[in-house]
Amino acid sequence: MTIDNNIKEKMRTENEEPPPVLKSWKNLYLLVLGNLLFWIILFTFFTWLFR
Amino acid sequence: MSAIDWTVLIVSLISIVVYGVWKGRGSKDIKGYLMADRNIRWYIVALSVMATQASAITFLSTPGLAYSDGMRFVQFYFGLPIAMVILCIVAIPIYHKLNVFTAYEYLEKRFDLKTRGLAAILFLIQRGLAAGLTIYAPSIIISVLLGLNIYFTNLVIGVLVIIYTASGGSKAVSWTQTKQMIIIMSAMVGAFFMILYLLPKDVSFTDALFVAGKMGKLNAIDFSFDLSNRYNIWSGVIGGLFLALSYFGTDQSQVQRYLTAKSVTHSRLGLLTNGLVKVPMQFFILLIGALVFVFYQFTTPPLFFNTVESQGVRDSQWGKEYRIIEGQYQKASQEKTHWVQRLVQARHQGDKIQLESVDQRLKQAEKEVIELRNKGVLLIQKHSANEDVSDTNYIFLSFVLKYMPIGLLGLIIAAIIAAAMSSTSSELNALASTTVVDIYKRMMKKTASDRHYLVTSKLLTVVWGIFAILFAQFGNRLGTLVEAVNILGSLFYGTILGIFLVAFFLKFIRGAAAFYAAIFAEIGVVLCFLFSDISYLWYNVVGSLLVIIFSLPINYFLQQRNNRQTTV
Repeated sequence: MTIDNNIKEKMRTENEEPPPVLKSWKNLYLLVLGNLLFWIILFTFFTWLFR
Repeated sequence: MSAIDWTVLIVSLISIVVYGVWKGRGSKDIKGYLMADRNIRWYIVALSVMATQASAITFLSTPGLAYSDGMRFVQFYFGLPIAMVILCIVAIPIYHKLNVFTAYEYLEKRFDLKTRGLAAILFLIQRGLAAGLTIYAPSIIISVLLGLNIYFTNLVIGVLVIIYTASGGSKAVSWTQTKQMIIIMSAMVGAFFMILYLLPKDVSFTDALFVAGKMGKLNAIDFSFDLSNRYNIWSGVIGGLFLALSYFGTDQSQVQRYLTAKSVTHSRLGLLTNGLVKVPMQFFILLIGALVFVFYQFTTPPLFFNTVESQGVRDSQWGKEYRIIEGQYQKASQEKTHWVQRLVQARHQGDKIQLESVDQRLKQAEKEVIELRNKGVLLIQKHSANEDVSDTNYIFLSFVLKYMPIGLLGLIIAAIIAAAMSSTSSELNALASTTVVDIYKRMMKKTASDRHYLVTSKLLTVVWGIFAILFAQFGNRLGTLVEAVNILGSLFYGTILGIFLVAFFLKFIRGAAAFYAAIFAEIGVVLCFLFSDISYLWYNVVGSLLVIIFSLPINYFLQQRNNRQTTV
């Protein structure tokens, strides 16, 4: 397998680069999963409220 | 439709095509044509990924599903945000690092050529057929309700897509999808507010939700665990996760969208935005369907929304019987409207005892209406000699055509066609990429000029477009379209995902083991489909797990054999 060293180096530094918001990728992933949990709780409440 | 609606429709569609051709000009090689020079920003990636998934089926069938089955379909999307996070961590860095054009190219680097070829061919079969359905879905409904010829409608949608996708490639696809998403979302928001406006003056938004809830349409969450139940939270989170992992991680029509991004960061942000927005967006579309249902509690709906089928049975030997049922259905619906109005009044008065008694009467009235509708549907089934006759896909557009004001009607129809075009363009672009990069360039003509591959890519886009148009003619043999596409996808996705999971996480598994495991797994999935009651969402889980499970002993066996041969 041959990988261009420049690309490899670019990707290595880019993976370490934080996203433009929330300082780290981990925080951004937690935001997405938290958002899902929020909607599930809201829909459960919605289903219960209008059952 | 009025002249204004036709003008809105035609101007919207032509402007999309012209914009696509203009934005896609200037590609000199296949990197530019298939990968948009890897220069797309994250918000365009996000809109492009969303537009690829949100086909016309989404906007026609989804409100219809909420109308007939309630909102539980939303659970189908619960696995998606989790899949987005997993793909951002695992797949995106690898795809970018290896600088691949297609997801299957990675499989050769990790395994061997035959595993790459198998995954590519499974994708071509599955996506090639689905592209036909993506065109057919809006065509049949628009044709029936506007009285147009289905062949003509298929042709118009197909040709419009082919023009800008073949000429501009990936750049044209991504840029037109941003405009298409704007048209689609404006139309859906417009439809939402218009439905609220069309409700009786004394019925507020919360009254409408109350009525929908009492009639079992706001069942968004179901915690019961049942393998044969298509939509509950477990099938949504687990089955939906596997389906989303397969679709976004291994289906070239999606992979290509985020591989056009400028960098890993832009690909990741595009997918994560999709993970944030998708669930509420689907909920909103389903809510529109539930509100259409509430609207029809105050206005008598047709017994059957597919006007061609209902007119056909009226003109047949069962016509007299059908008309009698239609008359009874109208009376029963009016009776039901009376009880719905009483229910709203009781709610306004806060009278719990009256609420309970009215609720009981309403449920009886609803039962009577459903029985009469079933009798009518039975006659339609006899007339058309088809047991799978369904009008779910016709409900929303039938409502739109009858009750939406001038201008908004044209915009909604433009949105539905734009949605069909956006998905189809991604599909054609991906089909052409896979055929050129994984099959033609890798296995048939390894050394040719860039210009040769560019022309071949354009030609293959046209060929796949023609194939999709031709297949669209067979779409009427399938049931509820949104489910048909998902079932078709699930038959292959599990196996493809299994290959990728083995590639990503089981580093000691060799190519031959992955290949044979995939063949056995696909046979297992087809057997499940033919001989079990397991809901299709679980096929992805079954297929993936089978590949993983089979690959372990096969790999062990092949290694033992190699060791023996080496010793000898």
